[in-house]
Parts: sequence; C-alpha cells; structure tokens
Amino acid sequence: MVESTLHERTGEEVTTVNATQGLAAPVAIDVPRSWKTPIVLGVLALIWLICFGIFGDARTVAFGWSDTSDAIVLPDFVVNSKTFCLTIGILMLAIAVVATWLASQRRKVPMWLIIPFGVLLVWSLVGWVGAGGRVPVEFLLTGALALSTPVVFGALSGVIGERVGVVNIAIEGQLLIGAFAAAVTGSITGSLTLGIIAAMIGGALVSLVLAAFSIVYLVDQVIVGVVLNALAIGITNFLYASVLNDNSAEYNFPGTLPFLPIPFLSDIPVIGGVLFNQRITTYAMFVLVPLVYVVLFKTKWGLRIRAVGEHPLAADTVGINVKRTRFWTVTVAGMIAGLGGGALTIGSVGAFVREMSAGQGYIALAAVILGRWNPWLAACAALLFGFSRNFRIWAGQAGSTIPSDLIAMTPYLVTLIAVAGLVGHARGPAAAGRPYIKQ
Amino acid sequence: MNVITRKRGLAGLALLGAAGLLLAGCSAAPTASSTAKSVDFKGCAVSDEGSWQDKSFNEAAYEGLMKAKTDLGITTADAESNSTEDFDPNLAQMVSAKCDLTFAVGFNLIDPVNAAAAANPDFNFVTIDGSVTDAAKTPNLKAINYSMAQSSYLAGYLAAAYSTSKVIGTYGGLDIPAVTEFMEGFYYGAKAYEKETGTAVKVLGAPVGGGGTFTDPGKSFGDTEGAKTISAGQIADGADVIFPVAGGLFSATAEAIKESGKPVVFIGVDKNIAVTSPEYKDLVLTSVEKRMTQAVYDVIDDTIKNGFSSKAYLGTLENDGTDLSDFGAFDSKVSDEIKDKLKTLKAGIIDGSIDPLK
Repeated sequence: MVESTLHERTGEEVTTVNATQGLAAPVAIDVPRSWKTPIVLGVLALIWLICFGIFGDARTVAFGWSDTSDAIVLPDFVVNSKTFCLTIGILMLAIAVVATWLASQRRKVPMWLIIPFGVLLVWSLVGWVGAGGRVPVEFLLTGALALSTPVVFGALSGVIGERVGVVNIAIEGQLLIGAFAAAVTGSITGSLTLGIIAAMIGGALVSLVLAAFSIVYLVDQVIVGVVLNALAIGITNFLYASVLNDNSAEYNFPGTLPFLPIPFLSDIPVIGGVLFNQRITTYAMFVLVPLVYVVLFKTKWGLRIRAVGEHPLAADTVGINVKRTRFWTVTVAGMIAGLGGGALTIGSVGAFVREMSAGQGYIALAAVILGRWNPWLAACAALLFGFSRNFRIWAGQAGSTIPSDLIAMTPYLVTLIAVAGLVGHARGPAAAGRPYIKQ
Repeated sequence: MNVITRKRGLAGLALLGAAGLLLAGCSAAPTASSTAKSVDFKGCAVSDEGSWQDKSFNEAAYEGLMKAKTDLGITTADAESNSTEDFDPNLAQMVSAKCDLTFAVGFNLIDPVNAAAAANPDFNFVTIDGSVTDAAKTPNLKAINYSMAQSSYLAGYLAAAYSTSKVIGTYGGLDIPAVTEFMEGFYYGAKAYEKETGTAVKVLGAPVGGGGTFTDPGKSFGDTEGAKTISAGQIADGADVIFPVAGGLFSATAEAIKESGKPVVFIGVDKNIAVTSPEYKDLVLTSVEKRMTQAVYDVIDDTIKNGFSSKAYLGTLENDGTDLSDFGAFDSKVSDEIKDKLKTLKAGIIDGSIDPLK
C-alpha cells in the first residue's frame, strides 16, 4: 500500500518509501546515507572544543541562577571556564559520533539529539564569554524571550498562512499596524484591552487586503505582501508625523500591560521568572504555539487547511470551499501577527516609534522555513534569533572581545547553516504561492 | 448579491477611496506666515534617515528652517530621506528647486553633499554634523559642527555626582563619530568627578578603550526592544543614570526604568526631552542640547544679510551652540554645590583649561 501523499508530506520526518507489497516478493529500496547532519555537528563540535576548550579562558565563570531579591535564592554555579568548555565540547563530540552512527544505519538524526546539541553549543559560548565574571542566566532567558516575542507571533502567522497556501510576506506590515493601533487606541481610550483588540483588528485589516487581492483578484501574493509592507510603513509614518508627534502625551502614551505573576510558580528559581511572571501577550504566545499545532495537525479544520495548501483541486473536489478557507485562515493569521505588533508596543515599550518592527516580520519568515512550517520548530527558531540578539547585548556588556557586529551577524549565519545542513530538503506546502482558479 | 452588483459596489468603494485620497492631497497647504515681509530667499533641507518629527536631531534642524520661514519670511522646501539611497536624489531635487541655501542634516550625508556642492558651484550648501572634504573644490559648502563632547562632559560629571550607586550607563544608536562624541564626553566627565572626589565611578557602555554599547546595527534608531534590553541590563548592573544617545529610543529606556521599579533617571539628547515629551519629564534629569534650531536660523539670517560665507560654524558652550538644559523636575534634587561646580567646569572648558576628551 502506498501511503497517502498528504500524510507523508506533512509529517515531520520523511518516512522511508515502502515498495508496493503483495504483488511479488517485497523489494526493499535502500535510502542513500545522508552524511550532511553528522558532518555539520562534527565540525561544529570540533571548532567549539578547540576554540573554547583547548584555547579557552582559564578564569572562573559564575552562572548566577537567581537575584538576591528572589524568593528562593540558589547559589551560583562557579566553574573554571576552560574545563567547562572542554567537558561540553566532549559531550558535543559524543553527540556527533552518535549522529554519525545513526547516519551509517541510514537513519535520520532525530530532533531530540540536535536541540540538546544546540543548547550545549550556546551554553559553552556563554561560559566562554562570561569568563572572569557572572552570567545572569535569568536575565539572558527573559531578554531572549522578550526579544523574540514579535518574531514568534509573526512565525505562527506565517506558518498558518503558508499551510493554507498563501505566502504571507506582509507580516512586517501587520506587526507595524498592530503596534500602531495598540499604542494609539490604548492612549486615546485609556484601556489596554481595547488596545489589544485594536491591534488584532489592525493586523486582520492588512491581511484582509492581502487575502482580497491574492485570493479573489489573483494578484501575485509576494507582490501584494511587499506592497502592503510599504503601505503600512507609509501610513504609520504619515500619521506619526502629522498627529502623534505633536500630541505625544494624548496619542502615544498608552503605558504597558501589567505583569501577571502566577502565585507559586513564579517563585521557582530560574524558569519561574521567565515563564510565569509575564504579561498577557507573552502568556498568549505560550498558549498559541501549542494551540496552533493542535489545530493544524489534530483537528478537522486543520486537515482541511493543510489539504487546501497541498492540493486545492483535490480539496475542492471533496467539497471544501478553497477560497473561503484561505480567506478566513489568512485573516486569523493576520490577527495573530497584529497581536504580535501589540506586544511590541503595549506589551513592551509603550510608545510607538517609527518603523519599530524593524525587519522582524522578514525574520519571522526565515523562522518559518527554518522550522519547516511546524509551529513548534518555527517558535524555537524565533527564540534562537531572539537569544542571539540578547547575547550580542550581554556580550558587549560583559566586555567580550568578539566584535559586536560579528555577533549581530550570527543569527543569519546560523539560519544559513541550519537550513543547508540540518533542515535538509525543506519542502513547503505544495500549493503555497499559487492562486487557486476554480475550473 | 450577484457578481455584477458586487463588482459595482467594490468599484464604487474604490472610487470613493481614490477620491478621498485626492481630496486629502488638495487640502490647503500650511498657510504662509501672516508677517508682511517676505524675502526672496529659498531655504531648503534634506534630512538624515528618519523624519522631520523624530523629536530630536532632524526635528531641531527643521524647526530652524520653519522659524526662519515665519520670522524672516523666506520660502522653504524640504525632503525627508527614508534611506541612504535617497540622499543624492533629494539633494538633486533641492538644486532643481532653485534653493538659495540647502542644509544637509547629518553625518551620513557628508559624501553626497560634498559631491553635490562640487557638481553645483552656483548653489550653496550647508552640512550639519559633517565636514568639508576639500575646501578648495567646494567654496560653496559650509560646515556646522558641534562640540557635543563639551556639554556631554558636563552631563557625565552631573550624572556621576547625582548617582548614588556611582554606576552610570550609556548606549548609542549607531557607531558613528557624531554619536560616540556624546558618549566619550560623558565618560570623561564622569571620570573627572572620580579624580576629584576619589570615589570610583563605573561607566557602562562607553566607547573608550574599544567596544561601546550600541543597538542592533540593522535596526539602529528603531531597535526599541534592543534599547530596552540594554537599559534593563545596565540597570541590573546597578546604573542609576542612563544616557541614551539614540534619538527617540529614550522611550524604551523609560520603559525599562519603569519595569525595574528602581529610582533611575535618564539624560536626553539634542533637545530638552522634558519639554518636548512631557510625559517623561519625571525621569529626565537634564538634556544635552544640540541647538541646531538656532544655528540653522542664524546661518539663514546671516546669509540673507551678508551673503554666503563658507566659514565653518562650531557650536560650543561658549557661543551657546550646545549646553545642558535646565534640570526641570530635578532642580531641587541637584545640590547648589554641584550646580556651582558645573558652572566652574563650563568656564574651564570655554577658556580651554579643561579638555572634554581626556
């Protein structure tokens, strides 16, 4: 039995193709050995071992788990930076060896090996940079989370949009309009809840235009998206210059959403502050990532959405209204991106600053591809970008000798390496980017 | 609703939208001043990346132009640059608009304005925060610069004196000399306090001896989240006075201060932030002003009266081109002793006995 194309393509791992059984003697087809992943892992492990372990800094580094103001104070983990990096380098090498063995067995290297590898990599880098000082772990984690929030929302929006077949380049514009709407509505009405709702409406409006032009009028989706981004920048800049700038106290001072600590959980030493003492926008992000995954992969609607994105003709034949599904899914995606924009202003800095989305919508698209159109992995990719931005700031503060611009380049370098070496043949939804014309 | 009605409805909506856009463009232009005099002089300006309403740098220059328009009765034209590619076309646009004097606002326009001045010897240009690369080739180019290190030195001393933890911080929006000059002056001013009183002062983020903290290079003056993280990090390291040299990003610093719950203050740049953004006045200790408004106005006035002069203008503490603004809400918190000391330092810088970059 040939497995269904749909299941095969939307599963996370490419399954080996089984030959048709029952006709003659079963013929097993050998999958060619893929050495890409083990090579990348091995090279990285060796580089890390040599640069940070053998040529490492012999000073001690103290990993600070808690502030003195926390409820439970854990002692710092003090260790010699060189030995620490050596140990981690050896562990990384061990993982690379396991990956090599798996590849020789023609098996795919699972994600639960690659992600710890990444964590070890980051940890030893932090240990090297922080040598001779203290590493504020909680600050690094909260900062990474804060910096990656809009990208996570954008990535979720991108995943949903592309899964249904519409390439959503306009995430940047949705973030910007959402941020603007949230700030202004929050200032005028004084209610931050209305600000959040306005942000979602703003994002939805942008995606409605995208949907209308690309689905109904069959304009190229990428072009509409790019134009919408330019339009969003133009509108917000114009309104900022003519209205907000002169009356900033009335129109651009919404304040920020309050922190909502969860009573007992927020006292847990390291992760408590990061996960359980956040604003409602961050909590919404925590809920949305699994929610989107469940809806897309475990529900009826999700199956229809993915069907429309893979093979709209087949979906249409079965009776699914392709245009309507795409239209409403893109609107929901726009609302999520708008919420991300709201997180930029009232969920973070309060006032609106010109062009404050600053390219994060495009980074969200990179996160979607890096995450292979899977909400969980896309969110992880977004976290990676956020963490590297935070790392650059902290490394500068810690007096690191690595040039700041080099560190700023890392997330994009990582994306290239990861997409080329680890993600492998990234296949998106088959019908993404092509309008569906009903015959 | 059948297809034809829907199409007509949508077409009608589109027509309405287009008409609205057209009418908005036809709205009355900002009325010229009611002063009787009007001079046959056209002053123009090209902005740096950003807008005329960035609440600091570009806005100050623009206001000088507008002040000249209302008080002196000149006509004006201007062009906002959205990116570095707009510099050359915008300058060319000013030339074709027959501007008598074109201001190129910002360090990033040095090369474009020098090229434009060399290519158009009949038109006069002024570069703000820039320099004349070859004075012989461009006698029609004047440079306006500011010794921001002088007033930043005062700010650094004040910050070190005001601070209780004796840890202060600074960060920049872009690693260019115009920005680092503020940060270096700030550092040396703080160190002067340290030398004088013997109390150790730690300055975070200063670009002295390599490094210096800046926002994400790709996002520079729009990196709100990065600015907030930088500020939060410096506050966590004990800073209680922060000097953000990053245009409008002081709002992100203000948010970081609020979130930390600590009594931290910040110092504004270019304009008196406590006045231009009154919602933050309780957090603004003082501002290091770059009085571009007055300079632009004075240069236009001088050119009208005495003709163009390519002599460079340097804004210093002496000619009031730059200074600290008043202490606003913190006037009572800054002791008279510190105020007197600042006056002495100012006199010392003016007469040359104190070098703000040492």
